[in-house]
Amino acid sequence: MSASSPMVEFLLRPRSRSRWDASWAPSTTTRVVLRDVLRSPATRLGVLLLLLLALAATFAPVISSHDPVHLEPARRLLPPSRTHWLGTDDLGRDVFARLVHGARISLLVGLVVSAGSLLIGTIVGLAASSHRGADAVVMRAVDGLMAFPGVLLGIALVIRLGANIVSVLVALTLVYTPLVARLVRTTTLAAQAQPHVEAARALGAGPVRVLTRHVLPTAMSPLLAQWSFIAGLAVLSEASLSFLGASVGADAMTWGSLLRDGQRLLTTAWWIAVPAGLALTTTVLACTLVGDGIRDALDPRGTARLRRHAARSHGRLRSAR
Amino acid sequence: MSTGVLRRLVAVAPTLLVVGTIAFLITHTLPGDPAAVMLGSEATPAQVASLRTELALDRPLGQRYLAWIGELARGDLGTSVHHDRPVSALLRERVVPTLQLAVAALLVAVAVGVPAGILASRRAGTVLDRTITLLATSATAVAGFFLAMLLILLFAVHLGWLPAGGSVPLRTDPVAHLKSMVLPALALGLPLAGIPARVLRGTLLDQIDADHIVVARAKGMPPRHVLLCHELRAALVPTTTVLGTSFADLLGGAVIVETVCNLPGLGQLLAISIGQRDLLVIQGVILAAAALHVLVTLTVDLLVSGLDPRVDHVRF
Repeated sequence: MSASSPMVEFLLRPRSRSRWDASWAPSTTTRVVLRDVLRSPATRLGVLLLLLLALAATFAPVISSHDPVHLEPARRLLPPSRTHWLGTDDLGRDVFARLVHGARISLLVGLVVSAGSLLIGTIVGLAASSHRGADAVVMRAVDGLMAFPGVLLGIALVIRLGANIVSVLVALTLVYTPLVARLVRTTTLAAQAQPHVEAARALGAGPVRVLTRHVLPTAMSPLLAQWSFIAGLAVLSEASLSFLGASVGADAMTWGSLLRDGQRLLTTAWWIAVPAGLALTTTVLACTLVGDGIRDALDPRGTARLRRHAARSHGRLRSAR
Repeated sequence: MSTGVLRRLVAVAPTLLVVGTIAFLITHTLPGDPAAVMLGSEATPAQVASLRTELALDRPLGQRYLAWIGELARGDLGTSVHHDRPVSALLRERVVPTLQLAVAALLVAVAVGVPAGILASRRAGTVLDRTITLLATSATAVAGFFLAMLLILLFAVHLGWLPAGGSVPLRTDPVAHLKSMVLPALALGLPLAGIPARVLRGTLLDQIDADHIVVARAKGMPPRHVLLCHELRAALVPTTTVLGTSFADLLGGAVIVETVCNLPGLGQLLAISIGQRDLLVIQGVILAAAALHVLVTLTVDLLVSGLDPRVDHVRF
């Protein structure tokens, strides 16, 4: 095929243009996506809450002047007061300080587990969708892993690997990777057979280039939404693991261990467990809201459809009256 | 029985084999010595060595795998180091309260989520719809074990209406038994109710102008009948499917809620075993949960193909 063939010209055009404007195109795209995502007030609330969490985790020692591990048996089980905002626990430790420091583990788990499972899941999912032999093996393994309840699989892995932060991160990443792998495989399987992918291959693009530049972008929008959902799920799972004593360690400051300590003293000192539970719920909710926002923004069909439905049923209601 | 159903039944065996293989890989191939994990840091090298022989850890991996699959097929999950009893016997004693709790929570989720979803779709775009949608979104973010604590604080400690925990055997006092199940079932079921509510609202709205609905309405069928005979019938399949897929999370959640409400189920066994680092019991619990999940998924698939004959050709 000669280089001047109209077909090749046509195929080359969008590619060369995107190369030409590569310096500014991503920033515009990012700006448009951000604007669309932040349009809904619920998503803005989610982002705000996550920013607050990040601030609390970063400046934990500044926010709370008390030492979270300082024992003061004389001041045990004090109710919330001006000096101890959320009271003290049964060893006289300041609950507010422990709560704020607990945000660090949650933030770390949310960030690392979501990034790790997204990265590995994408690679595995792409491998499955582009190679028939790999597909059979990978999907069997994915189905098998997903048969286990996530929290229980996490517990087994953490106990087997030893209760420390690295085990928790590895275990939860392994728990959520199959989810991503299945999503990427499903969305990219259709793309593999599409004309633009075939054309890229015909033009001599290598397998890695075809996958990253032409196949993977089709899975981008569900993946972005999934990133936030998985971060929320991972935070929730880590709290469950801590609650059952299968996480960072018995004395570690996590929301799950605050809930565990607080559960024993629920009737005498509600202020140990309840704030930790509220912090956990708020964080997971914020991740869900952000995920919903990303999904709706990148899938305009969905929001448009909902709005149309709302308008129509409004009309229906009015005519019924 | 159609070939689709038969094929689906046969497909369960390889899935269970993969599940068993994953459990084996976790126990036998991850870095670290399982025997050392089980005995803790105070064990002498001699103790570790004798446990290694007992668990056959000194044999080659391939041999161990074949032996493990054979034992699994016969229902032999090894012997617990701390209880000194077969793991399968421990599981059999504990599985009933967990299953009871999971089923009760599922009932709560359906009883709350289905009417909420219908109501939201009937009043789409109104404040009521937005409130239900917001509640459904928030509900899925609540950890069951935290909700259990809040419910215990309110209904057991402050109002004194229900017991704070523990369980009475069904045979001795059925009323007390049911009462002890109320709080855990609510704690586990209410967060789950958001899922059917959202799915039902979506599918009901999607078919609001489907041809058969318009015809039914045009011929003067009362709205109640349209809803029951046509709209809900079509929404039944996605709702059943989504409830089926959330069963794994339900089991995982049940195990944790149990420890809060002090029910003698798998969760309590798991919590004790975590403290004792009793790997074989933990492995048994996760295997039991995965097997239950596989069976529930099978049931849901068969149910769905019964509800919607078209599925038989598409999914299987």
